[in-house]
Amino acid sequence: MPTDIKYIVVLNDDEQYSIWPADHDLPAGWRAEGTEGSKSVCLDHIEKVWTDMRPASLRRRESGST
Amino acid sequence: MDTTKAAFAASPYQRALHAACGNAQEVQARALLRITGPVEPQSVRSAFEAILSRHSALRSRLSEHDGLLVQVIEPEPNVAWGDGSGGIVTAELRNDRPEVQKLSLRMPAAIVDAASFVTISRELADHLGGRVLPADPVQFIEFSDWRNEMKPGPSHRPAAARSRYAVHQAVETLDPQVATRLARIAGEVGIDAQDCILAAWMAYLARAGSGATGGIRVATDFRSFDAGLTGLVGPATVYVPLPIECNLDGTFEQLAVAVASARGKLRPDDGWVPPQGGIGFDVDVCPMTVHAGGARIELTDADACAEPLALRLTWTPSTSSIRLTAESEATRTLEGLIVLLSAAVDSVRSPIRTLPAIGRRESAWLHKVAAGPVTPPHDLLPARILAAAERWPDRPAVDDGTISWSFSQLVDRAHRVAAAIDPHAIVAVIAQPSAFTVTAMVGAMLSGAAYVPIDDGLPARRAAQLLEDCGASVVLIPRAGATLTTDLPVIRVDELPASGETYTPPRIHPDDLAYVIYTSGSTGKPKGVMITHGGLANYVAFAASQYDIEGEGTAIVSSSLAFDLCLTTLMVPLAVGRGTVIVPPSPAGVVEALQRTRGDAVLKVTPRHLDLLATILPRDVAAKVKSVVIGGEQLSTAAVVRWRALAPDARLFNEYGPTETVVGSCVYEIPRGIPVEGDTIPIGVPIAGTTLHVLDEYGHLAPTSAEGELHIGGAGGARGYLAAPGLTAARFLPDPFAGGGARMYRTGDIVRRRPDGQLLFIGRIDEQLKLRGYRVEPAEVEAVLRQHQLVSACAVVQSGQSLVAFLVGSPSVLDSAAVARHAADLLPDYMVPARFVVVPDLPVTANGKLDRAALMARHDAREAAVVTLPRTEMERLVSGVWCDVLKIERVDIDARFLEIGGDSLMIIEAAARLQEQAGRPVPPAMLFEHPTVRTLAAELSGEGRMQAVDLGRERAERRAKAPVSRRRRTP
Repeated sequence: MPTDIKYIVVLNDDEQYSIWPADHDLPAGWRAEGTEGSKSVCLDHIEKVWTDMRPASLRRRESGST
Repeated sequence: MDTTKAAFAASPYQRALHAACGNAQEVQARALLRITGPVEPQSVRSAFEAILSRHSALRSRLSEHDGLLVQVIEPEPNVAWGDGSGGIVTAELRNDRPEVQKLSLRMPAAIVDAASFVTISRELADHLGGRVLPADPVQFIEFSDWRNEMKPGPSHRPAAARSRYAVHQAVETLDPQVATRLARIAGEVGIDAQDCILAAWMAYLARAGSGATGGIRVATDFRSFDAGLTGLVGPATVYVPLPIECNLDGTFEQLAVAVASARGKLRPDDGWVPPQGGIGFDVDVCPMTVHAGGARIELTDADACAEPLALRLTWTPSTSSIRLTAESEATRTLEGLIVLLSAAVDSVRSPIRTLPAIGRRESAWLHKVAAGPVTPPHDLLPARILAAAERWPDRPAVDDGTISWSFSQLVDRAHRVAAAIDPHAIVAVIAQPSAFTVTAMVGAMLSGAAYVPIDDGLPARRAAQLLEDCGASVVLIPRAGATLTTDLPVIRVDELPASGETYTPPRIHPDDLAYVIYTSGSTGKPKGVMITHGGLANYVAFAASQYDIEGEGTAIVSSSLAFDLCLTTLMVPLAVGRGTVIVPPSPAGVVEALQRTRGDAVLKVTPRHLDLLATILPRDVAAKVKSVVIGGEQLSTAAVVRWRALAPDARLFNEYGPTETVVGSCVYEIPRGIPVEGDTIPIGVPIAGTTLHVLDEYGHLAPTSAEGELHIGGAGGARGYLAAPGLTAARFLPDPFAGGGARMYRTGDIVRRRPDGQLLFIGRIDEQLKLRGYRVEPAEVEAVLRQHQLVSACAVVQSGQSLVAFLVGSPSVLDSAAVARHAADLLPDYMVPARFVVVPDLPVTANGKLDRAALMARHDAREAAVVTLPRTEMERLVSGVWCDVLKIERVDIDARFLEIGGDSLMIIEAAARLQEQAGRPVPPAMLFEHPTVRTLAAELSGEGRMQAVDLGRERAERRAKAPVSRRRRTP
């Protein structure tokens, strides 16, 4: 794997985070979060911001039912 | 001219062809000549026959005489005109329009080449034009004599088996723009256009991974190097390997220049033809035109290649077209090549690695085979178990040898568990091989909680770590016997009432978690894979129908309930009203369970279990097995062969899937019959609701046959790794093929897709290992070892079925026994290195990474120096069996079985094999009592002390019966 690739932090409608090569077209259903950098920079950022790993739809349902 | 047949030695090339493939002489060369002008058909025929008279090769047949391959020359032309048969040459002359005739020729490719057809065309024109041909043309038998003097070599080898020949052809003409650019680039760097085409062909093969190993074989003509051979008719063109490799990081321009230089140095070499599967390149001699008085003769098609090449590309410079001759499908490959060529001429300075190599058809096909069948959403597992209990309350549900419950009993008890825990909680379940464990798991799922199975054989500290990491609110201990100590609330499942008030389970959503299973983590600690009910339901529905689990009978669970491997025969049957039988993880348990079984049984095993069962199962017991699902590790053909011999009617499924995508993501049903030894068994095609894409390192689809990393999308994908968002984001990536914000799991497994769509497992992209069916990250083991105060640097390497740990330090200071005890305290049994070796340093590769191969080689060399090899017949026999079972190269006769990677399953297998080979009873206990080759061989030769065996047997048998996971090594 080429190691010098730039990535961006992306998330989908379920607010699940992932990374994506900065120079590739973004797959449908994903949006850029704003962070860009090396793989480890992006993953470190996700480690901080993705605090609830439940999909957003499930979070909403669970908070609605309690 | 002689009027009798004469025999001459065949040329070295003809002999090489014959030795490489027995059917080389059956391959036909073809040519098509168009004759325009006022020429009588009779004149064409007689002119052609005159040419046959001039050239010995065109009247030759190859045959074996006294072990020598000879060309037998017939005195007269032997041509079958029209549809006639029997001639050496078949010719057909057709009149399409007045004044236009087509002469179509066929003859063995072993007596001709494309350049010969050029001579034939010229001479035909001379004849028809009334020109006198020069007398005494150079004859192929003279050429053969000259070559035979140069290449005496072995005069004859028996012909090899018949080869497959490429029969599919596809032709494409380059887009004029591409052709123009190509010519310009060639001109700019001062090379021939054919070198650009050849470079593109090399680049395509390197990208498509079809492995141009040994180089592309380029057609090279002896005539080009010897003016005296001008006008020679006969096979004087040979395919010679181009001795360069394609550097994927280099540019197309660099490659084209390198190709031109290498091709310029090629010289014909006629001594060797590879038997099968090479890749070739040649340049078309067509179209060429000659004039004969008022007539014009055009050679429009000439193709002659007697080598068994799997793929051969032909470049036609005058029309800028390329033709591919392939063993199987040619169109998609050709399209891919053109895509690459078109991109390459646009960006000659881009790395080849980045050039696309997939055409429209290939892309459509890859997407089609990447997707499993589409199915509607399935009922979730808890609902299915409840429905089964409703429908078949009295059917046997769970049997663990002590307890046997019906579906209604199981569900009643599971309701008691569910009522005792919080919905949506995470609950730990100590995975004892017990019906109460099933109650705990089913109960947790009914309540909407996710269960985390913790192997009951784990060292206490490891179990405590997992409990802390997973954040369990409660620990369910199925029954007495668990050694766990924890501060968390504990529920003893067997102490809950058997029935009680009606429990109303909450509604469960597909996104809710069903279970969390821990697997080895490369960051140094295990990671918990969070599996959802939706994902699990998809697998359950697939497995129930595919593996014949639906309907009555039993399913046998013989692996630890802490791993997802067991779910195929544990949870899937419960979803469809079939009973599950839990046996302790030992082969004897399976045998016993099968003996008790009435009706069909389904088994889920690892490859080594399969091997072992094949060794010990009696035939009548094996006959009860209807299906065996094999998973967890790469399956060898040998194991399948053994099973087929024992139970030919059982269906065998090779299932592949990481824990992250629920047990199995693809499957291959091994066709009936005995597979060919040495063949790789595919991992198959995607299950329903699943996509399997093979991607290159840039995330592009890898072409058919190319190696790439497997990415799994669809219903089975986990939510992620528990409390590890970074790790999750690194492995669960946006799925660009599915859209809608879907994710795909990056497996780290290297696979390739065969032209029939089946996937083959090749290996790992990283250091992950499979040991006895378990996933092991050496980095996790290394991290644990480094926690010990004496260890600063270390490396863990696989050796056979076990690990060797290398600790950096001085043997006088580093107490490796202490480190071993530390490892055994913190790691599950299968992750504890079997050997600890203190080394002064760790070798690194040029780019600074640990060089595991060099480390192991050093170790092997040191070991080899001190090993005592077997000396007697019996020692050799025992040592042979050990090496087979332990999957190692050699064994020191004083090494103890359990210390060089053996475990109790292997002891049973080794005992069974020894019994067979030594022809006397070998109980497994004997291997415990006589743990080295030396002592065991002595015992088997009758030199041992029988009394010692008897005394030791009881103790040893007790140990052999203990679950594998319970046994701890004493280093």
